[in-house]
Amino acid sequence: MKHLSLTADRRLRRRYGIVSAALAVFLGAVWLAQLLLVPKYMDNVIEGNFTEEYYNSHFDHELLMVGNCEAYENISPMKLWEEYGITSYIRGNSNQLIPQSYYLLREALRYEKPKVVLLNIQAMAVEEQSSEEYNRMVFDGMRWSKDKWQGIMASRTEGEKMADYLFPILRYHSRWSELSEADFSYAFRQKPTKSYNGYYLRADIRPYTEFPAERRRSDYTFPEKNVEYLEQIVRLCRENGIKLVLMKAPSMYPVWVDPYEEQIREFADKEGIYYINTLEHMDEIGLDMSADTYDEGLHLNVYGAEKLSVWLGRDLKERYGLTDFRKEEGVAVFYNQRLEEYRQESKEQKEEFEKLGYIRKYKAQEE
Amino acid sequence: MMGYTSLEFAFLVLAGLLISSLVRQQGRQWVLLAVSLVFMSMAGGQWTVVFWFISTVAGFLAARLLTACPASGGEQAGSGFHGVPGHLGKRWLLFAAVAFQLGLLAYFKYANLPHYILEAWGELTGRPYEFEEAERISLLGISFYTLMIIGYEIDVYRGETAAVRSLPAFSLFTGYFGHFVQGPIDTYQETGQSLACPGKVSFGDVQAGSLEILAGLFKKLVVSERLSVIVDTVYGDFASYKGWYLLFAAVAFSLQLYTDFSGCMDVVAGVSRLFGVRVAKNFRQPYFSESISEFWRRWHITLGAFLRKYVYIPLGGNRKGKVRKYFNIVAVFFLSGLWHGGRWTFIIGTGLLQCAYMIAGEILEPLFSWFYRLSKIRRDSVVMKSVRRVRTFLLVTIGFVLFRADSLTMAGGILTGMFGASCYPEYGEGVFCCGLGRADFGVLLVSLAILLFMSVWREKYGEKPVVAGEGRRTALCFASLFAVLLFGFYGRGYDTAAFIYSRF
Repeated sequence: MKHLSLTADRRLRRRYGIVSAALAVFLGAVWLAQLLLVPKYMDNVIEGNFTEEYYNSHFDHELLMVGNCEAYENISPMKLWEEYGITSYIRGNSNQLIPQSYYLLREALRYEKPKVVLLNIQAMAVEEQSSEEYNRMVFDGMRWSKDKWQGIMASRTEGEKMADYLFPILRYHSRWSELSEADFSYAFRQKPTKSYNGYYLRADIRPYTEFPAERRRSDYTFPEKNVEYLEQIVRLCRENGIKLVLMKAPSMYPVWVDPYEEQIREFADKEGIYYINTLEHMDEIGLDMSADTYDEGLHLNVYGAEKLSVWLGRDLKERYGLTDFRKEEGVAVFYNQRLEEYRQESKEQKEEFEKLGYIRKYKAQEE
Repeated sequence: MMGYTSLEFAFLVLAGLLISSLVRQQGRQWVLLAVSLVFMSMAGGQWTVVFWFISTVAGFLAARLLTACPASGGEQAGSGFHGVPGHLGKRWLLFAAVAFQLGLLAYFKYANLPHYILEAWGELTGRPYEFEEAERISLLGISFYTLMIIGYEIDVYRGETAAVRSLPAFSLFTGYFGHFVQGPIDTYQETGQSLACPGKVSFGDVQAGSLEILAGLFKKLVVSERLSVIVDTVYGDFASYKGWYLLFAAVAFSLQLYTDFSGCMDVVAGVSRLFGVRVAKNFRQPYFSESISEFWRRWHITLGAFLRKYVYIPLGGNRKGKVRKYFNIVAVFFLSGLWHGGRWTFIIGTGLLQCAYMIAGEILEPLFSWFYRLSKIRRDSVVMKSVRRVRTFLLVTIGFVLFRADSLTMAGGILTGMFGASCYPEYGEGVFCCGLGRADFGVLLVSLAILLFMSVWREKYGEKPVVAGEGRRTALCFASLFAVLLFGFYGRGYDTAAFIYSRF
């Protein structure tokens, strides 16, 4: 009997061993596959890196900007540094919704306490996410926390599952047939930083043209959910002693209609928040939409973004007494190096655009 | 909606298995019932649960009453109801019980049948008949559990099975998640007993069950979903494709239907095995059939068995002469086609056309025998077997063109288009004009080769495992899971409940 029980015990242990070993190999293979399959956003849609890149920055920003493409394509933190010594960062992404901005801001406040938070409010008019891909670009690079979980829950599109975020292989498994060199190159090593403190650099020029008329809406009231999250942003800033600034960037499309302007002004007045509609200051800023936009008026190029940054930086510095860090060596070393890289890329893009009429790496995206 | 390939289902099964392993043997049927109810409500919604329960209670009570009725012997044996002779009362009771079940099925599934008849007539005469479909609540599984209940009632009437005393046990039989959505159409004698007392689960069962599930997922997610891209692309614009491309799509659909349906059966068989339950087999390598009659004995086996037992044999089977036999075959196949939903594409595709093949095969059999005698070709030679298999596959495929088509006109267009010169639309790209890219096409070819190997193995060695030894089988489990995880069509935009047969 004892011999039999020993044999059974040994068999059981052997089974556990086999299953554990096979499971370990399987999980390892899944992990490796996942590293390969998750998009690296290196070739053209580089915005997918922006959320993640924030964690590599120096958490000493006095100005933190949040919002969608109107934030990360229209203001240049490098210019703010160069001109005023302002340390700033943009936590923005494509089609970033107001709830997403709230959770990204809330997460950022666990790392740092900026003096001023600037929120671009164009997304107040956006009812819901137009495509799941945008949500993935916002959240894929975000570190796991309550903020990420709640952010996903607050903005997920129909059929978008939490399991796909927890196990990205479930979402990206079909990419096996479209893996690029970048997928292999950056599966196991750190990706180069694509943004300049969250800024998306574009040095090409596509002059502003008339956009087709937008579909008229019967009701221009901001979605209730957005207003609730805007109120939460206000509360969050107040609780942390942060000055909140609301801004409408000088993007010509989607059209910022009067009812939107009225609602946001009313809200800002009621809450005692500083609100800037840069569309009303185009001449003052010096924007020339025949040269300062790279996509016919949707977003500014680097020339326009720098003009806006000079104008905006002066205003914010005077209003909130933002510190000039250019003399602080510890900070300046990092910012100056990044500024140099920014200038270099700006120059390269400019030359390429002058030569070809387009910038190669963005050509596919635009087509 | 929860489906057999959804993560929600996987979690439900895992939770069920966990609880099942913690309770005593007697308590495991309650776990299965709870899992089934959760599955039913999540997959089908509240009305599915309500009407399933009504059918189940009706079936349960009918069986109890049938048992209470005297077996036979006329008036001397005692009166059944209100002075009606016992055997007559029992027969009427059975009739009422079956009529009730069929009535519910007809109300929910065949409300549009008269319109479908007029629609088909309109297509044939060139005078389109337009109608508004009658709206009915969509009830998951009704076509399957209705037949199971009817089969059970008839078995009780015949005394082949004893009426179940426990309503929960009977509810588990009719509502068991493993056969609720797409069958198999189990009998109480086999699966009902197994559900009432699930067997012990060994490590070998876990391995075999897991491999069955993975084989099913492989068929469904890796093979069937890729084939569906080809089929949907070509049939979605069938007028632009001609010749080989239409034949290619038709063959692809035959394979899609098989891998979709049998994949689902493998998943439920595997999951059932993990719970210690055995469900009936529904497929036995049908495309290896050498004749149409053999095909229908290997394809949707439980539906065939049901119709044979409760329709074909009671009508006289083959015992009453050839003409009567042919009539019986027509009746069985007509009902089979009708069961699929009442559209004439189903009635003809999987019904009347198939029985026409069978009857023609029987009538022509002397001619075939004469041919073999005269030509001295061995009937059982590998070549002739292969020829017959290909012939059977192509004949079945013609039927499945109708099965897949939205209308008889579309089916006619596809079938006649096959004989035209091959062409594909301008936007297509050569052989990849059918919607599937090169990489996925490659995966499909490799997968079909694996599927062929699996089928040949099953045909030759039955249930004998492909890989022997615990270590190797465990490795195969995880390797298969990895392959499905990587090459399966699932995730965003994919409907986990979209099995072809779950519509029926």
